[in-house]
Amino acid sequence: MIIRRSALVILMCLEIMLSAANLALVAFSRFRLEAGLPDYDGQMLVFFVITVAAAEVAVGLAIVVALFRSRRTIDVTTLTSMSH
Amino acid sequence: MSPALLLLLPLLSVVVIFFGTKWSGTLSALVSVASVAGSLGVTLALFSTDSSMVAMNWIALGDVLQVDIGLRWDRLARGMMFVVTLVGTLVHVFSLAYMREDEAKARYFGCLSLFMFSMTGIVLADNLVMMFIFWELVGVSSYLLIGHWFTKASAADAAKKAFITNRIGDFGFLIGILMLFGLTGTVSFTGLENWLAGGHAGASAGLLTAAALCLFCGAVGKSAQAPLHVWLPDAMEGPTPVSALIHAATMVAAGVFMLVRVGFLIEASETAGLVIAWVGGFTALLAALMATQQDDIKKILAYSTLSQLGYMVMVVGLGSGEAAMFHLYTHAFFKALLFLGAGAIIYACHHEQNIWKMGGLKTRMPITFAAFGIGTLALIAFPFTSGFFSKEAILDIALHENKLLFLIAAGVAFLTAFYMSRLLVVTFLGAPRSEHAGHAKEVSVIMFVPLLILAFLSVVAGYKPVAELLQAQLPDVHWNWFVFFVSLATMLAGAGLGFLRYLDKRSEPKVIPVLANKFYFDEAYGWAVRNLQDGLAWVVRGLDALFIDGLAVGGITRLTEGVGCLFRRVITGNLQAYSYLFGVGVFVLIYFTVFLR
Amino acid sequence: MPAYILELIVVGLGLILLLLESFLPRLGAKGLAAIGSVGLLVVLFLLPSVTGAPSESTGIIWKFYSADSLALFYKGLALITTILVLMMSVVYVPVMQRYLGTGGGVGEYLILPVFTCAGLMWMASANDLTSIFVSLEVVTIGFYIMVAYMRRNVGSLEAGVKYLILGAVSTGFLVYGIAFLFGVTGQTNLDVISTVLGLLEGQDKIILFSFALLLVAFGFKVAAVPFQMWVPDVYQGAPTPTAAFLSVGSKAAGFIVLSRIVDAFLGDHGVQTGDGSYQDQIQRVLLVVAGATILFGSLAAIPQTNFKRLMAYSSISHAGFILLALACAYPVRMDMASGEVVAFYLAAYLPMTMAAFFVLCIVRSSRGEEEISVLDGLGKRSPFLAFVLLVSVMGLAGIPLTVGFLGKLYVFQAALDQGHFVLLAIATLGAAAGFYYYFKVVRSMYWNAPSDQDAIAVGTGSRVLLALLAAAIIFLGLNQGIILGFLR
Repeated sequence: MIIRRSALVILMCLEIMLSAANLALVAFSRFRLEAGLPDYDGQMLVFFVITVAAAEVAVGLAIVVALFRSRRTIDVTTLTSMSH
Repeated sequence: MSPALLLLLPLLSVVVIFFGTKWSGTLSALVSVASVAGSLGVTLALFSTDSSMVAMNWIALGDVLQVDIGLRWDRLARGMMFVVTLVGTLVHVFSLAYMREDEAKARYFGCLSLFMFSMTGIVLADNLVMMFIFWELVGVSSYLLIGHWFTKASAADAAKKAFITNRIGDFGFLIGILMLFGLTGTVSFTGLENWLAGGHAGASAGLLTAAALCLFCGAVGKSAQAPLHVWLPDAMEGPTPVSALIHAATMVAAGVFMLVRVGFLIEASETAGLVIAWVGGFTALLAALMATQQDDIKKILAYSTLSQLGYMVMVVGLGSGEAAMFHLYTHAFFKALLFLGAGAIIYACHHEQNIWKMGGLKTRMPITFAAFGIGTLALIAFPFTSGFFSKEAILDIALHENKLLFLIAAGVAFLTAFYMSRLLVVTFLGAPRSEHAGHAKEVSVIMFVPLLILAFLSVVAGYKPVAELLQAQLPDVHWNWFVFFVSLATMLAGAGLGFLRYLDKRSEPKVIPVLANKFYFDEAYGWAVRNLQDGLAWVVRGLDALFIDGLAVGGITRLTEGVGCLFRRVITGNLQAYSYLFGVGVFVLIYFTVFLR
Repeated sequence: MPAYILELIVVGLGLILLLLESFLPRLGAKGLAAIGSVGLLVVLFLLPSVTGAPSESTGIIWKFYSADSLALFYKGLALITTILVLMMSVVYVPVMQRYLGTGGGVGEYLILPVFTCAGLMWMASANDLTSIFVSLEVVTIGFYIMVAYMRRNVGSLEAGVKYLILGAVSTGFLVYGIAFLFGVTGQTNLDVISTVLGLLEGQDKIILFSFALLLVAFGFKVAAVPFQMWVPDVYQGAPTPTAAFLSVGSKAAGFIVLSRIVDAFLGDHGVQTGDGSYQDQIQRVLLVVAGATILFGSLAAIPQTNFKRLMAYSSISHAGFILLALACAYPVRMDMASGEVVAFYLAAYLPMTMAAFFVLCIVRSSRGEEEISVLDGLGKRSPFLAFVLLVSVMGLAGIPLTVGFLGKLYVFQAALDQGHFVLLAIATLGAAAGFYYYFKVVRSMYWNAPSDQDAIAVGTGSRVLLALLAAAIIFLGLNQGIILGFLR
């Protein structure tokens, strides 16, 4: 993710990160069997994460679109207007 | 009615003036006068009550630290408050006329109210922290008032000088407070008193002395004792009513008041008392000597204030807070009278302050002359004026406690009579020595009524019934004929010499450079500050270049720049650098948390 | 009335505002803000009357939600902050319209804070990993939009993208942390997790690992080193009211959740004992992070010339102080738990920061920049604004008789209690540096000659609010009992 220039690709990478975490959650809840059934608390959390990630990506895409409209590029390396 | 009202009234006036009536000088003046008169009324109404109250807990940290915002309304506070509000009221009224043509009248009266607020705070404070805060506030209002005519360079400089000199003393004061807190865990006067009464656990005599002397540092600054006395004469750049109120009657006496408040500490340490007494005695002598050769009417009075404050501090050090307070009260009246009289003269002579350009004012300003004369008599301790009684008490105590200091005190009494008769003779007698003095006219009624009231008080304040009103316990003094004769003799000798030497002289007959130049204190300080400062500046600049610029600021900017450069080479762009840093941070944190134990 | 009704009311209020904005366009920014603030004020007054969890916990909601006094306190903070942000936004609207182009309304900008407020309030009560995650994301997503709201302004967009991407990364770490914590304990409720953690043995590494991941996420939220790099850029670029909201609201919510999580990890372990347990290690990590944060924030603030960047670094250093309080889990001699010290500090921080940003908003809307030099001669141009800003920076610097002093005092006292002398030295250095860089603001206001002479117009509403804030800074500083009273 940190070597990508395109904001769009970075957003995709973030989704992959979240998916990885989701996978870990599902795995952990499968790992803890209670009476032969997985612990559903973890799996329920996964649904929340997926939903929230969708919302986040929607807002993210909107910002990327706004960025493209005003600058005709979504290359994040050009975002250096701030002083230090 | 509660004493808190005394704090609220002036505060209200400050707020109203700065946020409301700033556009109108006259209205602001009226608000300010009303508030101070109200304070006087409240003081009188509460005069027979005795209370202490805690308004609220300011800081409470379990058993570690307790600071309350509380007021202490006892006899000491009451007497002081009476003097502050009474002199304050008269000065406010006098200012109405004196500052009539001033452009920044609103600011002037606003600052006066601010001063009244902070002074009230000092008097009513029931703990050291609160006193310190108001102590700083009076410093601020004094700074603002000295620099009232800030377009004049000398006034702005004098304000700065006063402020800085006071900070030196306050630094000691603060350290003293912290020491006492460290020793006792409390900062309230009652708490400290109980701690001392309970055998001051955990503090050696040396520590106690050090703490008392640190507190004394604060008084040295505020009450302008040697060697920090240099700011007070310069402070005369402020408007004359301000000099009367702040730099003669009340604020400079705050140092003495504070010493009396913590008198139980000074009593507990003999060494501290001795040091304080000697500093006081030394200041009294030094200032009296310097006063004999000044030409500026206000400066003469300023040095005289220094010298009288020296008396008070000396007698506190000798263990008699009562005598100090007694002299404080009488001095407040007659010195305010003298200053306001000087103000009237200056006003009549179109802001001429050099006494050698006055003369012959006796016939032109008879009322002022009469009032000023009474003030002078009180100051030189003419028998049966108020100053006579209080000085008698001081001399008596000095005689019993320390013979050498008694000699100094007697010498100072002689000098006082000498320079005051010089002032009186040169200013009022003889022929006018300038055009302004020749055209001088008696001042308006608003100005001389306060003078007359103060003159009346200067006479009666020493008599037992009046004095007892102000003070629960009069100094334990017996009529001592020896002291009486010494006092009378020094007074007569000094006054006689002054009259003979200066009657009908047109200029100073013999200038003594060392006295006229105030023992070169300013020059010495200037030299020391310049050289020390250069040296210090050099060191500080080195440190600054090394640490602040080099390591802290420069280091960080260079570090970020360096890292930024690095990233710009590896990955161009900010955001990526940020995510990179983020990733590094995560690894460092995880490594540190999990593996570095 | 159960406490969660309040969040529902706030969400409902947000929806009503959305409808009003589309069907009654005549209302305008002022009308929306007024209705929103009144609604939030009503909720604020309802706050003391709510009830906590019933004794026999019946509803499933109480597994995810707690309503202890701390939660209610933070809810109050969130509500007050949001009301102030709404007021500030009204002043800021003219600036925003410059960057919105045709057809760009400001309505959403005034409604989003209300929804975000609901998220903040929920965060204050969240005591389950699930509700923590969801409420945190409600807040964060709202902030993404608000930061990037001025869509024709390069700075705002840039700040938005930066906040979005770094925020999303931190969300990723939050989910990782939750996953591992869940993996270790098999639970999502913090109370249960706390008990389970106490029973586990020999799993220190994995526990610490999950804590580190969570600390990454919350370190980002509260702007702790080394996850602070977004703060200056985002504050500088974002609309000023949003920067204020981030600085107070988002930070406060981050700290309440962080302190709940730290509590869960520490259990009843108490003071650092040096026995090498993972609880000790957690306190050590917090101390190190706190020290680094104070140091970085204070020193990096010194060379700043932009007022918002200065506030950003100062907010980093304040975060360090709060973390320090958090690390001193149970100050022994103070009659105060560290959670209370944290809450006190944040409550003190609120009026000071809000006042500073509010003044900046007003100055900004009359002048187009935000350098410190824009304040030059403010003492002459608008003595009132200058006075409020003076009180506020005095508070931020921690001068006695302001509420900021008390906040710092408690933190120092807590650190002293636990004997963290190195941290004390660092904190003293930070406070001293604070005097220096806040003084720059004062110097600019009172010593520098104004670059333009016009007086700055201040509306009556803003005037009253600013006066209230300044009075609060001083009055609360005189009487610590008020905040503590609300806290208990």
